[in-house]
Amino acid sequence: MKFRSSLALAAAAALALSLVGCTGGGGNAASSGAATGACAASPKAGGKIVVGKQNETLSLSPYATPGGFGDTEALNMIFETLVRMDPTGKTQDIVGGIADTWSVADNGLSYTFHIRDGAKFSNGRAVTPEDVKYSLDNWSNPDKSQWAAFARGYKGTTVVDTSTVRVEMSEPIGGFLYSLAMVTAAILPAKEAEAAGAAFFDAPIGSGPFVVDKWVKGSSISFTKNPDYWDKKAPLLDEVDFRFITDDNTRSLALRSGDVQMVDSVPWSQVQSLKSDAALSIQQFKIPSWILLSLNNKKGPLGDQKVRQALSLAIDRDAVNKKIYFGMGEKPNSMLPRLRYDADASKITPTPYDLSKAKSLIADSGYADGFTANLEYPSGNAAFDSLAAVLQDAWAKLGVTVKLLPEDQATLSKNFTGGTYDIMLPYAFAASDVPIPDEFAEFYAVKGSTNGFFTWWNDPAIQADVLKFTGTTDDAKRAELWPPIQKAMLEAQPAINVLNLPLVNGHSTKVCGFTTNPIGQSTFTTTWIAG
Amino acid sequence: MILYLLRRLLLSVGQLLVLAILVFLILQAVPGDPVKIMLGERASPAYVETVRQQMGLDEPVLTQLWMYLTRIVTGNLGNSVIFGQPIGTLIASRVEPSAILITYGLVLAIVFGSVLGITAALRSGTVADYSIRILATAIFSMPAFWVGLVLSLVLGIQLGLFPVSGYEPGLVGAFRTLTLPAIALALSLIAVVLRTLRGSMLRVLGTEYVEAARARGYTEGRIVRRHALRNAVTPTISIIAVVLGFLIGGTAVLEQVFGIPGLGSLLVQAVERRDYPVVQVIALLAGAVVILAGLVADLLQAALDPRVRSAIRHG
Repeated sequence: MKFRSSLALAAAAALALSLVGCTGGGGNAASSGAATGACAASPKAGGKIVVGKQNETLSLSPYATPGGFGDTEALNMIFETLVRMDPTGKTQDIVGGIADTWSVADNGLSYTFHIRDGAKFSNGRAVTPEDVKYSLDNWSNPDKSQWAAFARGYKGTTVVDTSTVRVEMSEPIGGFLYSLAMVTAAILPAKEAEAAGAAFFDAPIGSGPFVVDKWVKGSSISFTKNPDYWDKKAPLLDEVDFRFITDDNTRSLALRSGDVQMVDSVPWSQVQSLKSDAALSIQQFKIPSWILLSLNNKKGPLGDQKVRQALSLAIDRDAVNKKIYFGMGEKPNSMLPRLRYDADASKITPTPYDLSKAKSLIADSGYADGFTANLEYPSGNAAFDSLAAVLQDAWAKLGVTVKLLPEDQATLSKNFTGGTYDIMLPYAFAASDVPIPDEFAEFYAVKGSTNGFFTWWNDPAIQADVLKFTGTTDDAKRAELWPPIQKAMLEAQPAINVLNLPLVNGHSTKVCGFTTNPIGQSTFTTTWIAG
Repeated sequence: MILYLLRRLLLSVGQLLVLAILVFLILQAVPGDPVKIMLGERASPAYVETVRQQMGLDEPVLTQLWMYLTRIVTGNLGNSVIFGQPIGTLIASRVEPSAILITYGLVLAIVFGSVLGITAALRSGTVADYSIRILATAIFSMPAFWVGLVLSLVLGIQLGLFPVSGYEPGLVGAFRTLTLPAIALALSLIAVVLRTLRGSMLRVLGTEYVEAARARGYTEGRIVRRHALRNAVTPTISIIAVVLGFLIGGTAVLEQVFGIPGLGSLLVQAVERRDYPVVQVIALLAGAVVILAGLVADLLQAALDPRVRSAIRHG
């Protein structure tokens, strides 16, 4: 095995104890996307890759995904959707999937999809319009699908001819194609799924680039190349294995030891130490992920916009980024993560660090003498332990006394959705399911079951603007409508975006051509192994 | 003797019942609506209600307790909520790595603990004795998960002897994947075995009958084997039965650290996701193993020590 000095060993052991020191940003944290070294050669087919995954796959049903990313990432391998989010991640556009062409009616009330010649399920049967109808009807049915809320506006599917379907809408939905591109709207083989019942999802048949080979629950899932996949150039790999390694340290160790060739979700504190290993490289992907700091707007001081703005202005985001996120984050100019149609920093300035302005805002608010509040956050997360301490210190300067309460995810979830919290970092990892603002703009601004994404904030004017935006299907018009909303929500500040964060993945330098779509999910179609 | 056995068995059943009720009550006190946590924040209220009814969580607490006890007694454990599988099947598929890991760790601890304990006792007061005891205490005070990570770094990464995570079935596979966690597990227990055995050995070696045996000119080896060890081993057995509980708790952490798909990692997962039916069964199973170990230890003592047998006979 590779030689490693005992100093590196001791350093790694210290990291293993999660003693996150503030060692500063160090080198540049730019993505290593360019093909260098072994990857400079032309791509070659064959071989396999073992990936250490943070999240375990619990279900292979697109309709119930209790395992979260562990489920959707596996579903992406085996199922395909009518249209897809650009799998190269170079754009946030929609590209073809099972459908190769499509059109939207001018009034936004119907979509016509042409099913690609050669789109086949892994049992060799061609995808038919009936399969599409069956799948979309299931997806939109709240009794059957946990994700039915994303099918809002779906009225039904009409089979036009042997290779064309028309999807009818009850109202125009601007982000509908993105909802169809989520793997939860996967196209299933109707007859086969009906015949097998619930057992279908233990060994599902899909039309994606891979098929499930072996699923050892609790341990691993392996996929082999689907020879019937419509894209004859993909995938390059013969096999992809996901090994579930929930522990952050163990996942990194497995990569270093060569047990796995790739890991997802590298902990921030370990990026530098993995980078220093010549056999490994670190890849960053810009995805709509952010540090979501939620404020309970129905509770006293936090109902005051000036207080909320002051809390955001008092955060020294550069310092947080440098010391806790090792420079990999990005200062946000939106309350939401980085999304399509966002105005850039030259048009909407990122919230600065301005303690004196924060102090004067507090003085003008009804809470000039300060107040006390609880900050709840996920326990056992080194970055959040540091962040919570930084926030406590920053807000103390405004006269706000913060009590830190690290809690387990279930307790956080209960207090968040029940509205019994003051200030909360509700998720260890927060990300939008789509690269467009529609999902979270509606969560926050439109009165509904999530109560302003559990901030209990509502502004009728912003709500009207958001509904106009999400009800518009014309892309150019949407691009005009969004930036004013972005600005208004940032000012209203119902919640705080502390930093935009990338997805960080580590892999052996022999792993080439790995890409993710704009929300950070990969189908491994262009990935290949060098050497 | 048979009467004693019956009484002892009855006591174990009683212990199990108390344990079952305790597990149930503790889970009642855990914060968070289990159904909402299982289904996620975006599940519709109607769907949440349906699942709540399916799980019987809308019933009064006493009815739930009765349903739960009935399920355990009849062996009809129901389905796991997050995995959707029958709990019996799920647990059966996870029991192998945990059982091997605990046995492996126990064997390592007993073998190394005994050798070191006897050595320390026979060389009492020497440098060897002190070194062994200091080392054992030092190791005992290290958290098992940290020891596990250091072992991974040294034996897994630097020397490349073992994989740092995962599990492979079969004898060779289990040896490859479970050796590091078994060492981590055993290290904490070695100190316990060593200290108990050393203490009782010293006490026995100081007794008059050992003096008498020495006076007869028996070799030291014969004295240790026939007299000292046999007398010293009974307290050690009791201690091992007690610390087995800690050992089982330790596997939950180590299985997480080493990515082993055993009952420990299943338990952690089930707790995080409030899969109560699974938590209840695993907690109960772990308790049953500890109770059974206590029973076996008592019987072993009776078998090894005539004084214990005589005490039982005369009530």
